[in-house]
Amino acid sequence: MSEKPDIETTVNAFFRLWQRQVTLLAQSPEQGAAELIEQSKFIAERLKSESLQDNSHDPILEDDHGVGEDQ
Amino acid sequence: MTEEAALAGKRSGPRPLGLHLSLSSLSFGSSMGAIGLAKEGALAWLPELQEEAAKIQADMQQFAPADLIAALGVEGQSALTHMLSGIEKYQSHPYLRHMPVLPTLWSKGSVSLYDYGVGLPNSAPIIFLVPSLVNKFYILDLMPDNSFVAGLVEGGVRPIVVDWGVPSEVENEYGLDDYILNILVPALDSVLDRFPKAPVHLAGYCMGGTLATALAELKQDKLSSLITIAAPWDFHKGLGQSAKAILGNPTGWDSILQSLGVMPVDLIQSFFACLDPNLCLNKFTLFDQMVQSSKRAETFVALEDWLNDGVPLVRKAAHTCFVDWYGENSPALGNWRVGEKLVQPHNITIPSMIVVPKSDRIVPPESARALADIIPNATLMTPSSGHIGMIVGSTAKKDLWVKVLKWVSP
Repeated sequence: MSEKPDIETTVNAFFRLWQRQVTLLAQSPEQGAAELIEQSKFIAERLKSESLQDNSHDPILEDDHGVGEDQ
Repeated sequence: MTEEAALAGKRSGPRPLGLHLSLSSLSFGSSMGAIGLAKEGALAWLPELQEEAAKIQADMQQFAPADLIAALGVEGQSALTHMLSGIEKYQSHPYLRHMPVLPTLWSKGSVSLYDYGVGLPNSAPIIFLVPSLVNKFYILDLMPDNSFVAGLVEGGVRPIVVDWGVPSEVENEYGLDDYILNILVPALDSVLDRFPKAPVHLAGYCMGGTLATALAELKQDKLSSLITIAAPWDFHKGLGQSAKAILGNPTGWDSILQSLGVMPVDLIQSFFACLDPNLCLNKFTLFDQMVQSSKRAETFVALEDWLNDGVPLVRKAAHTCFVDWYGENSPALGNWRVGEKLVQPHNITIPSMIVVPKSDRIVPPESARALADIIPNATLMTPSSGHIGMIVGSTAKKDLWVKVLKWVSP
């Protein structure tokens, strides 16, 4: 079993990686940013579909929907 | 800091300070917004960072989002504190560059020509060095033990360096044509007259290399070779997002030039700052941790002083640089005129060495390499360093300096 990582080390690694992403984006030609936007859209679509899937079995939302219809 | 600046008080750099501080704060602030998404795998990463991002995401699963944000807050605050401390240490650092008194071979208006090779025989090979118009020449002679020109002298070569000075009313209406035809041509002629037995090589660094290319075409019958060092030629190649956003608006540049009359140093510096939004945060954090009396810290201060000691670009010359060069890419398209004549590097027949540093973030390597594609039989040299590191970095002596010496040595 792997040891639990240290939180300071983890956030430090994240911050450094985030900085590299910011710098690379500033310096890379348009293609890099375009690919990133496409990837973001893909992630957004995935999250949306996961969210819809989860919500389809949500009794509260189903109740709300029913209330709405009654009105 | 130069002696002149020292008299005026402590340093005010890095310039422009407000922009540097804003970019550093934005970098940290945006990371706070991104960490939650990164933990959930909902953050898009550039392909070359995805493997590392996946590992960090796996580690993040061990912690609650609130704990991660709190820890990142501490991390970012610490980085910003170190950066501010580093800036304060830089601003009050005691290092002072002593400008040596140099023999002036020729001068006109604000421009002087310095002979670094006094003591060498008159027949010693000459390198006529043209620096950029927006930064001072002394990057070529930064410190006594870190000086490109001193390295050339040690190798028996006479460096003759153009010091553009700071534009005065004499140059206020100069265009790049004037700088080439009214300054560089007569300055070079004076060298040819003074040292008739010496082979004369023409070298230009950064924008000075672009100017030198035009000069080489005009004077090649008198020259032994041309050396361009990180000189931009194809201005539409390899530009990153920031550079495109800033340079892609010629109308904006023109309105600045019309209202201010020059391109101010801080605007030029803003462009360089945006090429790496994290540069100030990282380099001053590092400087804060250096032993302030060390050689390393002094070299940092010397270089930073040079970076902040830029020169404004006069209106017509700035128009050519920003509108004709970056906007319309006139050199690469064969439309750049000096006087009545189009600059056509394919007509250069003297031996040419085109130096293209692989890690150049200021002049994209693709832009500088374009000259090697146009000039017939040009020799391409690609040091692994960056735009400035190539001249004063730890590998400069063994790389660029040696190669230039070898190129000009008989």
